[in-house]
Amino acid sequence: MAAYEPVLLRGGDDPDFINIDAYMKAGGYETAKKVLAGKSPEECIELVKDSGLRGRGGAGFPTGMKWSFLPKDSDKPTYIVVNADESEPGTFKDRFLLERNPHQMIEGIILCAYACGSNQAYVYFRGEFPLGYATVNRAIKQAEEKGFLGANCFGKGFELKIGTYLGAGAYICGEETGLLESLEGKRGHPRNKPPFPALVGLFNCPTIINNVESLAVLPPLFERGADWFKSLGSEKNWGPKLWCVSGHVAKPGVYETALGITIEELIEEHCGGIHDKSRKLKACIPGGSSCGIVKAEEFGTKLDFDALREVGSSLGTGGVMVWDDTVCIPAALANHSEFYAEESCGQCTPCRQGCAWAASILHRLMHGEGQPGDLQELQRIAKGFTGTTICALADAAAIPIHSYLAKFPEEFEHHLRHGSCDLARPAAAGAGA
Amino acid sequence: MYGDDFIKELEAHEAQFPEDRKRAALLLSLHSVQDREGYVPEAAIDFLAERYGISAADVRGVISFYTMFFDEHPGEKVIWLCRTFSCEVMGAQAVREAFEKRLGCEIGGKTDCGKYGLRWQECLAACDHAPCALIGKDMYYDLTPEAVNVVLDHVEAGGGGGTLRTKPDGGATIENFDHLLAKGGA
Repeated sequence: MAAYEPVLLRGGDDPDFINIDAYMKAGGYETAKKVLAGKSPEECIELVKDSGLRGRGGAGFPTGMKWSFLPKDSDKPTYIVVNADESEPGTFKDRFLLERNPHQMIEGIILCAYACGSNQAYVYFRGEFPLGYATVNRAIKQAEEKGFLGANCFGKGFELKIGTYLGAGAYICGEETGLLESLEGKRGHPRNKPPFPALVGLFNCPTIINNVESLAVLPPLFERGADWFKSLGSEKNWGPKLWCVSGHVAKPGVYETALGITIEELIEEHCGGIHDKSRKLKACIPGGSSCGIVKAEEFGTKLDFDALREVGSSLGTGGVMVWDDTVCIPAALANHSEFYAEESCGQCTPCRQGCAWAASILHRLMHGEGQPGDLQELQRIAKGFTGTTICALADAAAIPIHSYLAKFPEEFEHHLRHGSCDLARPAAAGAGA
Repeated sequence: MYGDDFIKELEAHEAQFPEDRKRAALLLSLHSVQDREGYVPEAAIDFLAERYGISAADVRGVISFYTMFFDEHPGEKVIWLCRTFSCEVMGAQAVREAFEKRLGCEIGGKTDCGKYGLRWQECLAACDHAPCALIGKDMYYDLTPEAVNVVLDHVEAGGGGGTLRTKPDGGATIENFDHLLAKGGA
C-alpha cells in the first residue's frame, strides 16, 4: 500500500505556512478559484454528498446532506458558521489547523459558502484560542488583499465576507445552537430543535455550521474528487482524518491518516507505542471524554464511525486519550464528571442537577467516603438525565458513566470497599474553575 | 469611555454584523473592556447596555455565564491551569501546588499584590503537551512543578508563550512560540 500523503497537515512544521504566499506556493486557493469559475453550487453539493464526507466535529453527520437541508426559496441571507470552539476533552486537532494552516480552512469556507449560496461566514473561536484567533484574522486579511475574499472573490462575481468571534470559556458553545446564541452576543444556551439551524439559525436565518476540519478537508476533496476521497478508509467512513493523541504514548501529537486504521496501529506505528516500556497499556477513549472506553484488548478495533460502536464507543472528535496501567478508571470518571458538572449550562434541570450529583458521588468515592448503593445510584442518575434535556451535553456525561462502570466494575467496587486503590494516580481533587 | 481607540474597536466588532443586530458584538466588546481593565466594571456594563439597547442585567447575565469574563478583578494576569484528564494524568495537580506555593495564593484566588490570578480551566486543547496553562493570552506547554519558577520568571520578563524544555541538569528553558506568531505577516 502506498504511503499516505497528508493533505490536512501538508504544511508540516513549516512555520511560514500560516502566510498566504507559502500556502499558494503549495497550490493553495487554486481549487477555490477553479471551482468558482467552472462548477455550479449544485454540483459542489453533489460532490460533497458523493464523497460521503461525515462531519469531523464529533457527531459524524454527512456534510453534503447537511448543506442540502438549506431552503431553496428563502428570501433571507444564508450564513456559514465555523465551529472553532474546540473544547471536547482530549481534542486539539483544530488548534493545529487554526494556528498552523489557517488558509486551508479559509479556502474550505469559500468552497462551502459558494456551494450554499452564502455571502457571510463567521468563525467562532473558543476564548482560550487567542493565538488561533490572531492567526486566522491575519490570514483573512491576507486573503482579502489578494482579492480571494470580499465583494468579488477571485474576480468571479461571488461575494464573501468572513467575520471572526471570540468566546469566553464555555464548552456548551461547541454545541451548534449554543454557539449561535453566543455568536448573537448572549448566554450560550442551546436551542430546542427542530427547527434545525439549516432553516432557522443565526439571526433566525438559514445557517450551516461546520467544524474546522470538515472545512479544511474540502480543498483537497474538490481538487482530487470524490473517488480519491473514497479510496481512503472504508464503507461510509471515507477520507482523511486527524487524530489527537495524548496520555501515555511516547510521542503524543496530531497525526493524519485515512479513516479506519486500528487503535493499535495509531499507537504503535505513529505514536511510538507506550511511553514507558515497563508498563502496560490499559485503555483509551478514542474521541474525547464523551465516548465510551475501549480496553487494551480491544485495540484492534478500527478508528471509524461504525466499528467503534461495536465495542461500545464512538469516533467522536478523534481525540484519543491513551492510558497505561497506572491510571485509576474511577479517577478518570471523577475528572470527566467534574467537567460536565462545571460545563452544564444550567438551562435544563436534569443536566444541571444530575451532572453535579454524579460528580459529587464520584468525588466521595475517590475520597474514601463512598456509600453502599453509590454505583447503582450513579447509573440511575445517568439514566435520568439521558434524553431529557435540550442538548446532548447530559447524554455525553452519561456515556462514560455507563461505559466505565460496565467495563471496569471491579475498580469501582474496590474504591467503594477500600476507599482508595494502589494505582499511582492521585485522586481527582475537587476543582472547578 | 476609554477613549477613541476603544470606540473604534467596538465599531469594528459591530461592523461584522447586520445593522439591526449590533448586540451580537457584545462578547467582543466585553473582551475589549477586559483588555483594558482586566475585568468589566459597573460603568462599562451600563455603557454597553445603553449602546446595545439592552438591560444591564442582560449584560451581567452574559458576564456571569462565561468563565473568562469577570465582574471583579481576577488579578492582572490570569494563570489558567488545565484541569481536565490528560493534564491531570500528566501531573496537573503537582503543577497547581507549585504555582500556589510560588504565588502564595490558592487556586481560584489571586496574589496579595493583585498581579496574578490562579484558576482552573477545563480542557485547553493542548493535551499532547500536558500539563499546560494559558497565562494571559499565551500558552505554556509541558509544565513541571520544578519549572514553575522558570515559567513565572519568563512571564515577569515579558516573554511570550512556549514549550518548556527540561535540561539534563534538571533546569529548564522556554522555547518560545515565535515561529507561530507570524512576524512580518500582512
